[in-house]
Amino acid sequence: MLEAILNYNFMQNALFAALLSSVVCGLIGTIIIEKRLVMMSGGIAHSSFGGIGLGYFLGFEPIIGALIFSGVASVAVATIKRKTNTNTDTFIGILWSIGMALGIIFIAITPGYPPEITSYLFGDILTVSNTDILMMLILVTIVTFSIFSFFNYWKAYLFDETFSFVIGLKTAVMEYLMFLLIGLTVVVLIKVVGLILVIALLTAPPAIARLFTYNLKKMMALSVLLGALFGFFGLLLSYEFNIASGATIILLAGASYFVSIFIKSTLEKRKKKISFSQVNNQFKN
Amino acid sequence: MNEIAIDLKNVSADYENVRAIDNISLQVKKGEFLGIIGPNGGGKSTLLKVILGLHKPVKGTVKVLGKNIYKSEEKPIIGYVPQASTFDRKFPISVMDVILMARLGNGFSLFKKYKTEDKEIAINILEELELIDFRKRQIGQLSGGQLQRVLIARALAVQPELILLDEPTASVDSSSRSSIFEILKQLNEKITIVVVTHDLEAVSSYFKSLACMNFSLHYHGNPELTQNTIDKTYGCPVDLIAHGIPHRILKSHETNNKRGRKSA
Repeated sequence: MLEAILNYNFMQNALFAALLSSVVCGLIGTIIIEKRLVMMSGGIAHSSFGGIGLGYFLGFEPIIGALIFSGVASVAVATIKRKTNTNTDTFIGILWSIGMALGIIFIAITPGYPPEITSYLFGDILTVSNTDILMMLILVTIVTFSIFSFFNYWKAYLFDETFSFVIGLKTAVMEYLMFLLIGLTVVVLIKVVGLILVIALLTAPPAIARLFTYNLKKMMALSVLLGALFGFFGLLLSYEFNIASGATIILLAGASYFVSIFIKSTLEKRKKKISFSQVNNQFKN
Repeated sequence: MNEIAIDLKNVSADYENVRAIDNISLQVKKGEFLGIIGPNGGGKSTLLKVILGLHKPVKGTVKVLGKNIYKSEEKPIIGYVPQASTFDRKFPISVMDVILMARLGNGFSLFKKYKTEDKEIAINILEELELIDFRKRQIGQLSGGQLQRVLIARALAVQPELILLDEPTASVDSSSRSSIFEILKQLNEKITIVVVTHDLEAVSSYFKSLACMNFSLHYHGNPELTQNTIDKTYGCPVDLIAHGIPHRILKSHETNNKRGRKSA
């Protein structure tokens, strides 16, 4: 594959896309896991399909449509979450399906042959264009800057929103920003794994990282690294065996997650056996 | 000099369209050690949220440390201690970082770094509460009592004149329980303290004054509770000396609660 990367522009783009997406996966994925926003992120991801359909229908770049729709959806989710005390499950579920339905309708009423939509649904990393790379680069820069420039604030907000509010932090602004960043992240990942498979790539790396570190920054760094590994090896496997790249990356991430849980629990069992009394003493302190 | 720490006038607040507290007026002087007791669903936590600026009342005015908390731009400096049980114990954060987050309130900046001064404040408080050895631990590796003390330490790191605590002894064993109240008693020499609690045992030994909440305020004064006040607040006879079980029902009773809700 290395030869292909050197020779073909599309392989270079694919690799670059995989690395870029691992950055946002690690940063935003960690937030999604810690704030338990998996379903909400799923809702935002799926609703962006409406924008892809709109792009085809009105004849502009579908990914721009996805950007608009996921932006609107994230603001809507944040607003609903703030305004209602009851859980937002129902709303998310409806938003999720409405987005998909809008996309299908738009594509159906688009004149001419129906466009190829599977690359948006399941990703196709080998078709990432130079324009896509440029857009991903911009979005990844925005997300990375937003996380690092407010890092201590994010940590406080994620750990204890109420306390943060009481000491005068603008938690409402942070909440909207957080959902917007999730929206942007989804768009970055659409070309890589597709909007249906996005959730696993956002959650598996931080969920694995969480098993091995108790430090938020290290958790993010480890998630980025894991995301990059899944992207690279997923690309490698899909190239060698000529199978769908998005699905390969996701299967790799998912399998690694379950293997990590297994390793972690085996390690802990062994530790307990060796030093049961030691651990016991530690808890007493 | 303003001698009133908390001033509520005719405050009513709804919780999901149900009136949770009704027409409450409450004045807490500076230097007070006030306990707020009452049954579950009696509006204690809503009252706490109203005072913290988290829950806008439908009626009345709320002044905390001289500032109208729902109007003024500048927030009063309050140390808030939530219940330890509401936290995700696996969250990747160390004790030191929990304390330091209290210092984020004074001045916003991009790429905010904690100053040496902030770290000194944190270290001093950790030493004072005998938590210094745990400063590098992740919060999941603490006992319930230790985590509760960490949360008190965090509230102190705000350097407040007023501390509000929500059920500080709900998830701790009895030895941590008395140590927590001893800490609060000491702090009370400098700081006004308000505690929402189920812990009737703490009532007579620690609080300087007491408020009994059930929908409306039934009693506010010195902490020598009579059976009569307790009956009014809880809507049924409660054992005053029940250890560990703060609300043991002694006799059978009819529910004459205003909202017809059986007090839990």
